[in-house]
Amino acid sequence: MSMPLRYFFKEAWSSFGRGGAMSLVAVLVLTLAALSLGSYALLRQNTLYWIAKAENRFEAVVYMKDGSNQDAAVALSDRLRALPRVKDLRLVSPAEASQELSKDRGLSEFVAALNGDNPLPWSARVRLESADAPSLEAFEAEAEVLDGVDSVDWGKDSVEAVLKWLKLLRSALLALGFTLAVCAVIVTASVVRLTLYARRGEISIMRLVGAGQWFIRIPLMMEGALQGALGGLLGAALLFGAGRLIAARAMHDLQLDLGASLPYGVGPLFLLGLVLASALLGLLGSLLALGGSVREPG
Amino acid sequence: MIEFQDVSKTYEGDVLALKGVTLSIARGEFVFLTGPSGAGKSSLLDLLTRERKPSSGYVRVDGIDLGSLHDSQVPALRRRMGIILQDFRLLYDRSVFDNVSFALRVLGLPEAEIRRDTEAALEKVGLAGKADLRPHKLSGGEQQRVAVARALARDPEWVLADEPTGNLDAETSMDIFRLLQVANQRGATVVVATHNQSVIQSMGKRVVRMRAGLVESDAPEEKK
Repeated sequence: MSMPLRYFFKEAWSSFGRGGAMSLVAVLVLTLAALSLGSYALLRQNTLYWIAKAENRFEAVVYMKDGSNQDAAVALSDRLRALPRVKDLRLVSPAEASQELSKDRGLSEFVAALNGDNPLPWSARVRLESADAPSLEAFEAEAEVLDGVDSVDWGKDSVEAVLKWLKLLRSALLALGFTLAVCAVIVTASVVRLTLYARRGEISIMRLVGAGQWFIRIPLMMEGALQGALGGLLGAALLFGAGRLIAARAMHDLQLDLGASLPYGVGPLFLLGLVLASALLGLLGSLLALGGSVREPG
Repeated sequence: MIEFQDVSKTYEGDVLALKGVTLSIARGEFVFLTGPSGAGKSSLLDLLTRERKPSSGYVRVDGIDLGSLHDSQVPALRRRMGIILQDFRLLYDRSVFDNVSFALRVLGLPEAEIRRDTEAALEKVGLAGKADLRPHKLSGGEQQRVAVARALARDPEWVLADEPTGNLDAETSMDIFRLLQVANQRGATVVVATHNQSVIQSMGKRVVRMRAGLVESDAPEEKK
């Protein structure tokens, strides 16, 4: 038996209209699901952006031995650059280091008390490809054996603690995303099951005239996808509106440009993604809810 | 050929609806099933439409054992049947035309053929002018005629009707039975469960009388 796709589309569309209050409830539930998933997606993207930014700040400082001159410092910095995992390196002269210290409120008096003497050594600030503790530790081991290196400092204790928290935050985001997705599918399936219960008479008539399982299922699944897409669109519109409102309040009350701090917002790609994800959610919910409801009784 | 061989059907709670029924109906026959409520008429039809499976014994339609028929093969069996029930079973949120055309649509026919056959079926039952109406705008008799049109639109091999005139007046009932008779004359095997004794007597067909899940008598009725 051939599957008349045009009929399925038409049937899904009209059935969505005929569903009345039940269709509305399904769309509202899917809107809430899209709102939760959309908020999560924005939270995740912006948080990962900040995690990456925070991780990029970790660097190792290689102090050179007292009395090293500029030529020796440049030569040593070339050898450091050649080490594996090194992303970039900035050579800091004693004068630059002193200038930086004088900008620090706590240390400016100490610098002033030196009366022009500069005991600070040449140093190199090194960023690695991967800013995790094992990479920094490995770099320390490789750098401190080089001739001319006095010591390597990467704030082992504090960096390890911060990196541990960032890792935990990534795992929490993953768990939250998974939980939200599972809840959204379960809630959607429950609502679709209610709409199917209301249409059990219609399904029994379809079976009576010899409609096969997929002939009954496909329009219902398409209807679920349609409800999901509409829910996604509404969810994205609500997120966009809420985002604009919060950004305006933040600028007005706190003079804070949220757009600059949180680069990921509701753009066209996000909108398309949320509509597609919600349509998929509606489809999955319908598939789950349909389960054995169109099978033959014994 | 329809065959019931020592068929019993027990429902939940050990309710015995059929007790070892043996019966055969030849291709092209018109048979009435009659008897008091709870006699087992509807259970017999439910087994024929494979709405239910027998608890023991065999139900065969053209050699197909319905008890061991896989669920996935049931729709194909039903597409060869025209089923009419007392409560019409219409889709009330669709037009009369859509109700009838749905039975043809599941056959996967081309759109033009669906339209042609639906119009022909509605013409046959005298509802050609009401194709665009919703069923709730029609009288009970007209609604049952929609159900008959749906059942007959695809020229079924078997027409199975369970109390098709249970809610209808005498004149409308005769109209419905005349339509079933026409289907029978065109070659369909017709099995009708009914309480309507006046129709049974006026048609002079084979009558299977049932009581308490058993076949009490099986003989042609003399036309009066």
